[in-house]
Amino acid sequence: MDRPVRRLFWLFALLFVALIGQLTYVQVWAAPSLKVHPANTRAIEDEMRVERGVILSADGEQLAANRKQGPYFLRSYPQGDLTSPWLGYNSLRYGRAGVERVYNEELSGQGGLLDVVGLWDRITGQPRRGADLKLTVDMRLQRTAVQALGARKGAVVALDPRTGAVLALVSYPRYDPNRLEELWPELNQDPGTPLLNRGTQGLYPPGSVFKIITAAAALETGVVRPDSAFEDTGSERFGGYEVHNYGDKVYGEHDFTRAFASSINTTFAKVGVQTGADTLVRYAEAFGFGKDVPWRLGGAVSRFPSASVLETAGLAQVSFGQAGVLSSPLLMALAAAAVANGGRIMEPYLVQEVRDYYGNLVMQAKPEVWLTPITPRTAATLAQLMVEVVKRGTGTGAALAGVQVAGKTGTAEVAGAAPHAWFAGFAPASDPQVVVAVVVENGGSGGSVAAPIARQVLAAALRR
Amino acid sequence: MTAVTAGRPGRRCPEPQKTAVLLRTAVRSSRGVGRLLLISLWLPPALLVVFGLCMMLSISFSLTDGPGRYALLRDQAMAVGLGLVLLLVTSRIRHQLWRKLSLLAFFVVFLSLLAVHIPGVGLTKNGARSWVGLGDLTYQPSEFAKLAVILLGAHLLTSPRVAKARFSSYIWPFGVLGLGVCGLVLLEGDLGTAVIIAGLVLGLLWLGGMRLTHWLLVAGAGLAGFIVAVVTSEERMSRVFGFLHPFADPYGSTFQLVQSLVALGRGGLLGVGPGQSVQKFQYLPQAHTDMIYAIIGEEFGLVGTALIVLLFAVFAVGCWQLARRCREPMGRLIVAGCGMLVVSQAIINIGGVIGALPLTGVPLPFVSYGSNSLLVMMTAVGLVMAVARTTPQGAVSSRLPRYENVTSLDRWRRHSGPRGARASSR
Repeated sequence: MDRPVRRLFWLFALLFVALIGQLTYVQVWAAPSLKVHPANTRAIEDEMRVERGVILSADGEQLAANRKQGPYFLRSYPQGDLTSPWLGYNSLRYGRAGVERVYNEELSGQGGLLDVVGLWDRITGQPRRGADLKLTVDMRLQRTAVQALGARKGAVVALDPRTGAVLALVSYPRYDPNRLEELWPELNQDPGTPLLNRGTQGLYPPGSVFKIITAAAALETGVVRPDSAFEDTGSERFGGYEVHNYGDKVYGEHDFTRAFASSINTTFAKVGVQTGADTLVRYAEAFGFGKDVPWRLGGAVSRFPSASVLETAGLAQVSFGQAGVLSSPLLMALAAAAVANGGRIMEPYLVQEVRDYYGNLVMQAKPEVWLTPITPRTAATLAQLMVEVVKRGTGTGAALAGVQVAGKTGTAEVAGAAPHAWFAGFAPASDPQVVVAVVVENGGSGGSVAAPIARQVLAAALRR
Repeated sequence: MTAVTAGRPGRRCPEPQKTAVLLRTAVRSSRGVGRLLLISLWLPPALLVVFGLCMMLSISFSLTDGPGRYALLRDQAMAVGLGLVLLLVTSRIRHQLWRKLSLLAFFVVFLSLLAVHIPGVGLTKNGARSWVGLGDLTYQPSEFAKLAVILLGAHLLTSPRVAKARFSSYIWPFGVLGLGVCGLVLLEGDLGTAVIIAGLVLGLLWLGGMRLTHWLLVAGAGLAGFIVAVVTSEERMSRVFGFLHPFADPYGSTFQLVQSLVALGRGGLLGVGPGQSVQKFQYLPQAHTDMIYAIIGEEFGLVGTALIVLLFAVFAVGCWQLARRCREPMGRLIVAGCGMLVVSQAIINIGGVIGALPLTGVPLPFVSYGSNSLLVMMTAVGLVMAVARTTPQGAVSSRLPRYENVTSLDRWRRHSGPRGARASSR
């Protein structure tokens, strides 16, 4: 047995010699060229020497911070997955996303005023330092919304209708940006698309939540009034398509207020067809369909079919938000915000202010009107309709004690799966301070699934 | 030099290798014969473990903030503590006991290798379904399979049933069981570990005295299996061949290797200094586990990397010399097997990191983070130490012809007395 052992040993000895040879080659011979190889860390090193700006929430919690390590700064996200995916990440390997990407110039101290300050730093030999961001997101509200949504696929958007400031933005599934490097392969292959910000990038059929827009069009063009009378027999044909009510209910004689509160599809199909394709399309666009939401975070463009393809059957269905209507949760929040804010939709924003390293204000958010789809009168009428929804309609799950809540539920049908549960609303109805939109993918009915989530978020927002 | 020339009458004894002579002279010249040998068996692993702990501290600081800064060090230190217990216990067990226990150990490992595939029990990390979750701990059966294969091989290949020296007696049950384990590990998606286990099986068969033609047959079959496993998976293809042209796709398939080479290049001859690595900052994936050698190369340069190779080489020489001195066939196979395990895994890891071999995701013994690997490696040292304890000092085994060297237990008992008397110069 001696000989086999010895042969084996010499085989290993040979391999050891080969290793030493290759090591010497890599670490001595090839070392100079490896040091200047583009994949080398020189650029990264430079980037790591920049003290990137801190990102704070409205209530002063750190969302993105730096950790000093020798001459380098490393990014960490103290809130873990709570703020993903919109906060994004700043990864040496995978680049940037979310706020870290769109505000990279500010955060790394470049552009405009910051260049001047940076020049001064360079003269005085200081390392480059980025500007700090203060966001509009309130972490307590964000946490409430995260807990309310729980482990259900979907999104929650909460904003201030008077200014457009985004107060909470939740999407599930999420990821922990601190563990991006190790999770990356899984995140990319995950069928639950945790990298997608469902609040802004997710497109869903809005279902009955869209009735806010149908009602706005019909009310403003004089097609209906809140007390217009209708009769429902449970189903009705529109150009070869039979419209049913949710749960196959029959409502009989009712007025338009009741039709909105109980979300009667047959009546809305009638109203939509009466209003006409051109008008409906005009109002959908006035509410932001087919437009980019004017903020730096971006998002998906919500879609509404063009008037030319809307036959009677299609028109009947788009009137209650089906058949090709696709909306992001953010846009439905903005639609509710139009009602809450006297007919004006404010541009949404996430960054309240930018301050350079020395605390000087570089940029401050100025609320601006984005769209004015309806008049204050129509908005007031719609608000009353939406109050009825929560008082005695489908949205009672969103009612709060002592505060009047206005809202609209949606149960958007999906082929071959459970419907998406929707709720969009605001509170208090008389003096709206917060708008919330909730979507739970394949969650079931809007009234029983989405409305309670909205209630928790509204309650927490009003407690602020 | 009686020991060396005391071969069987009529058998030619080859010239002793030069290094062997040097080492033997060094060992013989001192009174404490075997002490140097013992040191060569425990000191390199001890130094490597300590070095690994230092690297954990260095990398821990770059990975996390706050109290988590010592997480890697703490986990690894706990594993080292447990590993020391295992090492001491196994080194106190007479290795003959493994004749009774090896089959049991093997089946426990075999069953847990199957358990890995049970949904809810098995866990997937880094693309390999190799873990079983036990509360907060994760148990990696494929690591322990290496030890089980060595012990079972040492037992079966020295049991009476292989005395007939027939092909089948080598193949069944050991070859089949060993390659079965290898297949299960391959099924987990862990090609690196599968190759190591296959190497162990082939090595043990070789040392067990299998006829060369038969051995070549088995090795050829193993090679064919390897080729099939590689060709059928695009990911493996790119891994196995990617290392030949690492800079063809530096941000894609060979990203890890390129970053590793850059780290080694940055280190150069003397390194950038302890704790000064840049590559460990989120940039080199698996910096604390499979790629730790690259960080060592960056911080300590060629001096550090060559030292690591040297430590493994010293351990290899120690195992070789112990195997020569051990007159009991099973002990020899255990020593050689454990030596092969440690050294081959080191070579595969280091070779992968420095671009001499494909990257396979195998940890560096004693150094890489990971309790399963550490426990197995320290137990392997314990097994070797157990054999060293029962091996007479200074005894060098006589050369034996193939096929007769590892024969039945009876024959071993019959021959060991007189041969042992001749072998030692007492």
